[in-house]
Amino acid sequence: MQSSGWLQLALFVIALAVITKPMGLYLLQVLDVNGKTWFDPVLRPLERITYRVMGVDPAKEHDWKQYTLAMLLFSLVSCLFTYAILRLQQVLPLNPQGLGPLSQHLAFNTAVSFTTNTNWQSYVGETTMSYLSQMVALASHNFESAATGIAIAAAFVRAIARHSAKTIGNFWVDLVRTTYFLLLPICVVFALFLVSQGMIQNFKAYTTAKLTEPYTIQVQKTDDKGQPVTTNVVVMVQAPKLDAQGKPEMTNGLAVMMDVPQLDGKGQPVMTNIAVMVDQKVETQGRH
Amino acid sequence: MLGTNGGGYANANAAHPFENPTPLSNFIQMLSIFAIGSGLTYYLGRMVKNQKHGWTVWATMMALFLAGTLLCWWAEAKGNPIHHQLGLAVADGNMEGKEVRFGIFNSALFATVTTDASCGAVNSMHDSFTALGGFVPLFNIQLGEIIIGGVGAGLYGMLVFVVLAVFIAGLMVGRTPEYLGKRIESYEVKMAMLALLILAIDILGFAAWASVSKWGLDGLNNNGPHGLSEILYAFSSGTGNNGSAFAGLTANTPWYNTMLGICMLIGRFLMIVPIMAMAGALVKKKIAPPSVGTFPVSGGTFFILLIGTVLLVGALNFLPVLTLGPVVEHFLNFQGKLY
Repeated sequence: MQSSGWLQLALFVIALAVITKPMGLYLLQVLDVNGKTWFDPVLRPLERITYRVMGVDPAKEHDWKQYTLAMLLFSLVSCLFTYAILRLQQVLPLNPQGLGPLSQHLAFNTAVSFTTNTNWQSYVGETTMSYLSQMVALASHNFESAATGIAIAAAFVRAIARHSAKTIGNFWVDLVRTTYFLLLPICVVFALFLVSQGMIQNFKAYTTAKLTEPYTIQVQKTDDKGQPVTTNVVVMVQAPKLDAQGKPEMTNGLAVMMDVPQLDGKGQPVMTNIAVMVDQKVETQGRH
Repeated sequence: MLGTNGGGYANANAAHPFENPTPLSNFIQMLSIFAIGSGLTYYLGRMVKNQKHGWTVWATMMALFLAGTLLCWWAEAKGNPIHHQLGLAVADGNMEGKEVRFGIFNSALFATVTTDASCGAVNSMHDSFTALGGFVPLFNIQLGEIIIGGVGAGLYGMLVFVVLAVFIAGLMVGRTPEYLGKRIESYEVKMAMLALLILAIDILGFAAWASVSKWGLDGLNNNGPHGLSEILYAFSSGTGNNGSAFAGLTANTPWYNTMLGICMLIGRFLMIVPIMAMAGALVKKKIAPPSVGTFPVSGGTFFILLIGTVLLVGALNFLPVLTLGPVVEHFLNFQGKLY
């Protein structure tokens, strides 16, 4: 447990304590339907359009049953949406690697996982998910499931703060406002920061890297039909070497051994098929 | 990260240089995991017009966080006892399964942060942690991820414990339990207990089933207590909507995928429903003005009471199974047995 570790831990706790109040004050504005933020000029119109498209009246609040039902309904729809993309990724665009569809159980597991803010991953991202699946089917849940969690917490806090009331806020308003005013702006800044630190993403097929030190491996020789080329050779066995009198030759009390062809019952040499090997130079590495 | 989702693009997740290129990105990623959850405690204080209450909840979370980090860091820095006996121990401690770029401290801190919150991004292999080092992330999840917690989920989870703590305090002093001027009655406590029981049954039930069935045991790469930890971690992670994995468990099988999927659904939505029902009951109540007899929900007494409630509930639920997993493994390590 070195001092650099203690220093980092202290730095971490202090940094967290410092951002807690501004974050809390900002949340206060985001989770209030009439709250004001810096992003109002840009995002307010977008927010209004979203309500109109969804047919939501932002002024109308829900009681706990309506709120919970809206949350469950939204989760169900977004979960089915992800399931569909994962099962159909082979016919959808942005799949330069030509990755196939996920199995039913894996698609179910993954869709549920991302809907519930779990992100349990039973798959290997690089070799399973197309770019479209990663960005649309999965990344959208990183916003939606987080916003859902924040909405529930906000509703619960309202329930404690209010008295002699019935309603605890509007789920759709909480969802939309959290996504637009909280998660989107921070994520844009954060993503730019990570890019500045060297994080990458692109739409290209995976690249093949050229090795700086090529090496040689032995591979089976194949004919033009792709079949391995084989050759017939005599199977050899070890037998004692005999001298002119038919006695085993000895050195230091040990019989000298030599390779002789193995013979079958009729005295014929036993033959076998083995693959012909050739040298192949390896200069590049990578999938495809 | 920010939304405590934790899903990685690449399999190695945040240990992959493309996902976590520099020490600064590592630090900011950890901070962003906690940022919103931490801000929500301040939001709570503002909304209920009792900022001290918000900070007390925050302090409780931080105390549990520090305890977890220190235990995990200490266990990892001490390393594997068998390596010490053989004279093979490296000065750094247990570096197996860790990214050399981050080392012991940042791996332990990341593991604690990611399981305190329900993030589940990882920058090291939790499976390769020492027995006690791995105990910390596991127990963090089983406490219900209320230490800062998943965005939103951490706060409403913690508030369930707050209601329980107030109720227990009320029973101890023989007064009607009150939370911020609202009387806590049997309905609220029933709903709080329902949420906690669902958590425990979901984790323990599925893990127990997996431990005695062929589909569960087929996926294991390690046997003995470490294997039990792997199964337990998978279902804890699923139920707690964490999503980090102990690894060492081959979980991409029809059974595991389906079971973990169901487990995640229960852990998320069946937890939310009783909590929302509690919210529905609370919002209707009148607020009584505070009197001398009102139990304060801020300050040292409440802080200790809340920590006590969290640890007591967590320990009562999960200590038996943890004893069979990481704890017994820890002691067997000293006798030279590895799993």
